[in-house]
Amino acid sequence: MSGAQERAAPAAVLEVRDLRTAFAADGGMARAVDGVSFDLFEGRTLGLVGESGCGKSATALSILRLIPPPGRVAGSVRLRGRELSALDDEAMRAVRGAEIAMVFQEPMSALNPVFTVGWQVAEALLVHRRLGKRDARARAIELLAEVGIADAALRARQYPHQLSGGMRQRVMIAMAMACRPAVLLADEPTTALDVTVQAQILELFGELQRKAGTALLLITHDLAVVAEAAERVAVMYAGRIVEEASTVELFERPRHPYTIGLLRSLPERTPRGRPLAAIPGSVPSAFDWPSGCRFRTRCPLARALCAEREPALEPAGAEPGHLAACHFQEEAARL
Amino acid sequence: MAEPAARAGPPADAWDRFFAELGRRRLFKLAAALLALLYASAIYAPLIASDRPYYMEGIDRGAFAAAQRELVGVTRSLAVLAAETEESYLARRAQGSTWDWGQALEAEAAAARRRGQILRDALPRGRRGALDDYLDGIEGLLDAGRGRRIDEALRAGERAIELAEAARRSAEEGRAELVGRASWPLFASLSAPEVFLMVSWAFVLGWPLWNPLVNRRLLGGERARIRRHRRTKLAVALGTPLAVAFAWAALAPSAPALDAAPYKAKLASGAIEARRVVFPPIALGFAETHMAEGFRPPTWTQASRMDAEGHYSRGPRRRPSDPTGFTPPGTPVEVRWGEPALNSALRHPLGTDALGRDLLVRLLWGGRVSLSIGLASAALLTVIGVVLGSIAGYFGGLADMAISRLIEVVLCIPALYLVLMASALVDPAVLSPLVAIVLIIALVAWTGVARLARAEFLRLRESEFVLAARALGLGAPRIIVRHVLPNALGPILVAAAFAVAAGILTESVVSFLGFGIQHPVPSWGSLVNESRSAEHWWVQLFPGLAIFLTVTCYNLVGEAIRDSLDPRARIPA
Repeated sequence: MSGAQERAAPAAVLEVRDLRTAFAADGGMARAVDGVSFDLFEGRTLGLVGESGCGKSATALSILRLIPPPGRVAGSVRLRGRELSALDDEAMRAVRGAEIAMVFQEPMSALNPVFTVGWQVAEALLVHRRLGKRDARARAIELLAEVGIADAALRARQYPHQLSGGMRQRVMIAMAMACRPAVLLADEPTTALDVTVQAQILELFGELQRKAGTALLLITHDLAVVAEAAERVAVMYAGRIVEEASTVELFERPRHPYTIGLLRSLPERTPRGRPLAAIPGSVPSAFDWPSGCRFRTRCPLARALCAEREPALEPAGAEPGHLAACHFQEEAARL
Repeated sequence: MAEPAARAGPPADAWDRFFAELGRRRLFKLAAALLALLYASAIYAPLIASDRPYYMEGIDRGAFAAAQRELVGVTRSLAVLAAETEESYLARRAQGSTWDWGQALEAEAAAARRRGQILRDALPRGRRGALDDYLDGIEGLLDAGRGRRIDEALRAGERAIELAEAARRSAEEGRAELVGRASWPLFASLSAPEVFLMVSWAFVLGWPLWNPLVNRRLLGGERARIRRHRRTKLAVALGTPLAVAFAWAALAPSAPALDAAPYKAKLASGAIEARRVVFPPIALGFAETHMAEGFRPPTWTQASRMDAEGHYSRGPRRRPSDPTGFTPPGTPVEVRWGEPALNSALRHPLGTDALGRDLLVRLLWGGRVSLSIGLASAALLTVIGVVLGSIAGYFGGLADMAISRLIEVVLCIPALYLVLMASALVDPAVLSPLVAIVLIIALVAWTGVARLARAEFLRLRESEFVLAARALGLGAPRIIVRHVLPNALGPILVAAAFAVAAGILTESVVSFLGFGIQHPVPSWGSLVNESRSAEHWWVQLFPGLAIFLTVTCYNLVGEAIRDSLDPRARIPA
């Protein structure tokens, strides 16, 4: 079935090419996102995985051009063929929420504490769809019911602090889906939730995608979430994508030492009683990425070549569409 | 852990917690109650102290006689005006008059109508015919005059004069059998905004009574229902006074144009033949003078005793000793209608000023000026501060730079000198002193609120819900007003409460120094300024106490709100 969809897959809804985001600080330039490219397809999910500080969230905010100053964004983002980086602020504002929406990690802090959740869901409709107050309110209740909130009419009148964590996240999703956006960027949407609620929320994403055909970018540090919800996965390290493949391929036949290290450190894959495997060292500073391959400081396969030349993202393995950025990917596959 | 409890009933919302927290503070309750009473005394001042009666039933023989005397003369001059051209009027109008012919015509018609009305209303029903005819004749004449139909106006004029003669004769015949009329002079002098404030303040004062009653009886004591009906209550408490005020504006008899009537003097002299008169508890006007009682000490003190000739019995101002056998005559104090007796303790409980005006009455009326200046200046400076502070805090960069420097510039000028200088420069003919002082205080004192708002916006613009709002595609104005401002409101409200206190104090200082509010409308600060002699201690003590009490109460209220909004400063249950 996956194959059939692959073949039928139309042109990408969102094409991100060579996205670069840098912050000027007194220590120099922090290149948080450094040449990231990927495509999002209608009704499909791309998982973006990486550890804290690798530039996942910055990627999402860069797509929406919400990087706070002094940050600067370069590169190309095309939404259904329309170049977003060429739009002025006003036109970009019309895109946000209406065509590309975002769900945040902490629903408690991302919801405004002084307004009822119904009002907050209705607000996007008031602004983008120019609905009347009464219509927006009725539609908000529908949306809340759609994201699985029982007794939506009552909940719509409540404040964020009166809802549970899972319900708040459902509200955030209802807000994001209010205008039926083509693209949904979900930044760690399940991290603040417990496991059962996590599963429900992921299921909800799937359901909404089937219904509305939304393309989803699922940003997470949790490989289990990706395995469950994404068809394709991109692994990010130090501001770049180091490997990208279909989920099955990536989990079964990883070709980049970093991906391999990540998968090895999964508790589920560690035999009982053995200490968890960890990748030695920590992520280098964004002010001062290592020369050549950025993973070389922590890589078991690192050699002289790795410090000299930066590996490009190249086809790897047997499956078409599997890309990895490693000089020694054949060797890595045998690790 | 908290979940099961929360599921048992709807959890308390932020307002519930805030009110519960406020309710635990005794000092806040005391201060709020005192403030409510202070505002009540200011709002209800006309009902407490006035030289107009609430209700009067009687015959105004003076007014009747005057109207009878003047009726024909006024009609003649109206007839001349109606049949005259603009040029001839302008040629003969009084020197310095700015009226054109139309204005003069309307004024003269109103004068004729008023006199006819006075006569008509005082006559018994059977004798009103001639006056009804006269009033119709006036309208016909006026109509012809307005239409510039000279011939018709000439004829109507002659007829109106005949009618006036007839009306005067009819009045003369009916003079012995005049009927008494009931009137409500005090209520007639109230304006619709005053009525609005009076009714709405009744809701505020009665809150401890009606609120529990409504909650228990109408809402069955359910927290959720009570919470849902908060807005309904507010709507009723604001809507009722509004409706009453509109009804008042539409229905209440407009105050007679010349109602500076000295009712008390007329009653005493018999010009008004009264059957029943009801005066307010203190039957004194705020500008009513008793020249023989200048700087009379509070009448409950021994030093205030006076004899019938207007000499003090003791103290430095007692009757001069008399080595030659000659006693200079005193000025007897005039005790007018409705006033307490000469040496009653209630005559001037807080003493009088240089012109013998009662200090208690002036304190009550002065509260209107002082308290409203405090509120208005605080409201204005909060608006200025929030607008500038939010722009600086939300946008940062150049806007922040410019506004922050502006704040520093305003801050580094000593505020009092700026206020004094500005109020000395303002021309009272251009800008009323009341408005001027509010503007000046607000323009000097907005910096505190602006800095607070800026800090709050700096903090909140980094918050995730603002980022989420931007990700939803909301514009900056909407985010500032709808998302950030409500979250920043707590500290700003506290600053506003302190600003009211500061505004009252500043106005007092300015008025005390002789700028600001001018006579005869008193403000508390200008009352203190009535005398600087230690001998007249009451003049300084009582208004000073009023200022002190209000400012202290506002500071207590501000502190209580601040502490109640701060979760770390909560009093343990």
